[in-house]
Amino acid sequence: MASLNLLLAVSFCYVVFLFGVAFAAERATAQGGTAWLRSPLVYTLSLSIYCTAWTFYGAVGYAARSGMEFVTIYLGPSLVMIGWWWVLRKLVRIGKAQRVTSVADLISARYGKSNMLALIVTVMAVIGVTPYIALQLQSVTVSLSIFAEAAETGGRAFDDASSGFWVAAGLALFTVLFGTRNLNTNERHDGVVIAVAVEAVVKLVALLAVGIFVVWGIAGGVGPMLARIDASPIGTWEMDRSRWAALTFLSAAAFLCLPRMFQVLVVENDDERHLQIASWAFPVYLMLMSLFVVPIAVIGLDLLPAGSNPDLFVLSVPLAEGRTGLAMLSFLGGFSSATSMVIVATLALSTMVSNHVVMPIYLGLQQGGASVSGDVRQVVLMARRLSILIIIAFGYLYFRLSGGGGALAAIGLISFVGVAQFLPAMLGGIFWRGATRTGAAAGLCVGFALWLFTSLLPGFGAGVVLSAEVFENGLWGIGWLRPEAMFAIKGLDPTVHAFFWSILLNSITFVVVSLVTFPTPMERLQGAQFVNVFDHSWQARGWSASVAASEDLMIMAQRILGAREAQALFRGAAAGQGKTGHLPEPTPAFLEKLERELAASVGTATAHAMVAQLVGAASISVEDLLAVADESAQILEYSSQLEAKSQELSRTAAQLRDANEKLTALSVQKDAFLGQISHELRTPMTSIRAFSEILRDTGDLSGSEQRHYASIIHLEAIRLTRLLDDLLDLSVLENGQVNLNFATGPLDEVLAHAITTAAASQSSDGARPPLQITGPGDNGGAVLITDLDRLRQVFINLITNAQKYNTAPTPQLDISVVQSNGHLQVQFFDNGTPIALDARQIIFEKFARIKNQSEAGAGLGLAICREIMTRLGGNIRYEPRAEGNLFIVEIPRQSALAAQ
Amino acid sequence: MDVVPPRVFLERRSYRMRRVMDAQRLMPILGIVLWLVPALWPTQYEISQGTAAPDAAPVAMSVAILFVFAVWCVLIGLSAWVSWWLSRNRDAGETGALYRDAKRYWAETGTTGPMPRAGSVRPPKRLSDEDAG
Repeated sequence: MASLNLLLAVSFCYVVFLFGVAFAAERATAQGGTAWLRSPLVYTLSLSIYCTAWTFYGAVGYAARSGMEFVTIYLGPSLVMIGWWWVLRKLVRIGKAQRVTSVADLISARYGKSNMLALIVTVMAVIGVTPYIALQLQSVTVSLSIFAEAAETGGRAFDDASSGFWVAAGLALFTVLFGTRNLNTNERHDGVVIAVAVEAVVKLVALLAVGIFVVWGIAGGVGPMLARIDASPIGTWEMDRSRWAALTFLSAAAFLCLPRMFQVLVVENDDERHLQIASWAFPVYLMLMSLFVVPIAVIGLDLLPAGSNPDLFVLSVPLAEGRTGLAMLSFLGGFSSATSMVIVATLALSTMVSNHVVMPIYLGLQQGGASVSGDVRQVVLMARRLSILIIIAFGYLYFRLSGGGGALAAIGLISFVGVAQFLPAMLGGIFWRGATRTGAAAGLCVGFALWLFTSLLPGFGAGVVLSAEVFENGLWGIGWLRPEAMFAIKGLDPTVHAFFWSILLNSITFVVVSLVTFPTPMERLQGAQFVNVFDHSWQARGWSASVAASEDLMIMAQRILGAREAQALFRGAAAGQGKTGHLPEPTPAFLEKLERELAASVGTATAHAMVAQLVGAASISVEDLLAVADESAQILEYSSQLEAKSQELSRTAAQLRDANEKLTALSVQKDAFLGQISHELRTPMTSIRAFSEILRDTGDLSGSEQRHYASIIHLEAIRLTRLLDDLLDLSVLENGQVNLNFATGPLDEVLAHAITTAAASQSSDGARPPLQITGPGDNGGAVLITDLDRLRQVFINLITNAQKYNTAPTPQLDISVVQSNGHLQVQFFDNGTPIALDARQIIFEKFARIKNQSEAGAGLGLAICREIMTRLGGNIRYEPRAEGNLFIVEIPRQSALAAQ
Repeated sequence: MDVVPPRVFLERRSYRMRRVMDAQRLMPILGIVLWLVPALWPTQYEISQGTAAPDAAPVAMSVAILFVFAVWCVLIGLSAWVSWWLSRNRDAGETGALYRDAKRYWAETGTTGPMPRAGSVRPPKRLSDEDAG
């Protein structure tokens, strides 16, 4: 008889062998000659981790209890593989294009690289898979205990707990050793994959060996075996139809969603064509694994005493027949099933936990983010190792706490329903562009809550977590919230019930919330990338790296990818750009490639965040484009404001320029005025001084000479006085300090007075003929209310000017009064030479004297006239005529009209 | 004389290839339908309760096993044949030529993006040869 010690020795040798195979594979990969490591055969065999200890031991137990129902667990995956063209091909392509590292990463990447979703999926996966890991530990310890009983070693009692612990520790060691050797998940875990493939062969061979022994060794051939089956307690077709359909669908869903299956199907896939071969080769494997399940169950039921655990028929039948070697092979098969599953599941889960839970927290704690000092690569590896230990510890704890109760199949199904909740978000994500992040999160949460309530918690039994009260009357006493009869629909099988309601409400929530919410631009972009992956597999969103220094990227990449790999990557990219040296231009294509490489190590969301930090968050996502558009709009508005301001400024500047010109002109005018006035004052003063000196110094002057000189002095003094009077007058007028004496009088009287006065002052030297003045005519009778004296002063000035400056042979002045628009215009038209063009502008200015004029004058007359008329509310202006000059004095309307 | 021009032959080939791909797509549907057949069988329980049809006889487990595994074998066989046919013809047909060109293009350029249209890279020499012939 086999002793337990022999079995343990064999197991130990087997484990050493597996370690050796894994090491050899890793070494072969390192040396390069790995064609056979990446063959379709290895890929197909690695898929066999679907067949866990549940398959190896549980399927027979399942068949012994429920007949052919066990086979549904293998029909679903077979259909998925045969229909690879529909879903798997797309998943694998997306996995490669987006460098997806796990199912959580896939869902997160699809919905706009949301770490929130990744976190939800990770938590769900850990909770869903932990019982499954416990199940494997349980199957190994239970199978060991069978040997212990059979060996009857006597003195030493077999200890479930300690053997479970050692199995868990060994598995953790293996996974840490081979699962976290390199960081880049896409570089495949060759050691693990090869070990899994070897174990796949071992478990298949073991089960086939037991089956062949049963059919040909015990039953005596196929015919007798079939007869024996028909005669057995499970000999006729007994089937719950809902379970048949639901379990097939459930297993298909779980096949796609289980983290470990995703790991081997998508992440470890090396070539899409391997999938095509696996599409028929893996169903062959599944069929062979199921082929002898019913015969073993029937023989077990037949041979072994009632009450034997049917889950262990694979072991106990050969043991009962005394075939220790076969039993040992069978044990190794079961051991292989359990260990390979735990290793890959833990690996997949630890990737998820470290990428979506530990690293975000770590990076969040580090203020500097990706550019902190220290080796992030080491941190990632440590996070992953820690995650592996934690997950296996969870499994072990669950195993200890659950006490190893319950049929293997039941625990497995609970797990399946849990991970199947990813299906709507996953399939919706790759086939429906309208799926949104909010929809996916809502669907997942609803499905997860229902799974907890209808499957996981009731699985512990009434009164453990959920009270019997809740089972009977529903949650919070609401009748249609009973964990096994939701919505008051009773009579459904619990698994079908949990699966149906959770997936249905999950899908409905997912679809409805997706329909009513809006995706972010990033989601829409990623959605298009996923759904149309075959149209543009390699065009992910672009980076603009105007800010990103290649050096910073290099430093970050070295920490994550490792110095040598990162340098090779950068050098390759630089060479691709036609540059020598290590640092390529940070083109969008290169950044995209870099992000994908980083994503393979730390997950898409983290990689995106890291590159975003270094590139200064300059991803040209639609989101950012919108932000840029907003910004541009603001800039446009700002610039138009600026433009308006600058126009205003230039207007002000023009005004200032005008003002300056005016000031300059005024300054010039002032200088001219001062020069003029000193000149005007000096001329009479000079005369007065000269003649007064003559009178003083010349003693013998005749009386007539004295009178003559004294009269000259007198005249000059008068002229000086007049000039000063004029100046004073002008100054008073300009300062507005003048007092106007309004009086009423007829216009023609004023005019007549003015003409008389002017004529009196006319120089009667006879050098020029006297001025002929023609009268104002009929309109002169208007009565005015104004300062008549001032008005007369204006008229006198104009007439005097005409007398002085008219050089015509017969000087004439025509005065006429015109009624226009209610104004009263007094026109002075003379027949003299018209004033020169450039002089017209300045005749009303002070001291403006037209050049080459014989007549002396201060040039203040017209300036005073203009000031007077302004004060009186009218004006005076000059209009040139072809022959002569026309001065128009306008007397304001009210002054004239009021008098009429 | 029954001369089939090679062009037509190739087109038939690629047409056949697309139909085989259709077959591949339809295979899981065939599998679902066939594997749902056992759900139609009367169960032992229904017969004993008398709710099944009067002439219903219980289906023996051996028959059920043979049926399920036979469907499995048929599906695997068909799938393997399609897979084999496609991989054999991939290098022969027009699509295969395109695929070969694309692979060469990818290897040469080190990219994996779409290949420029065949017309733009193919030298016009062959066309003029044909015209001359």
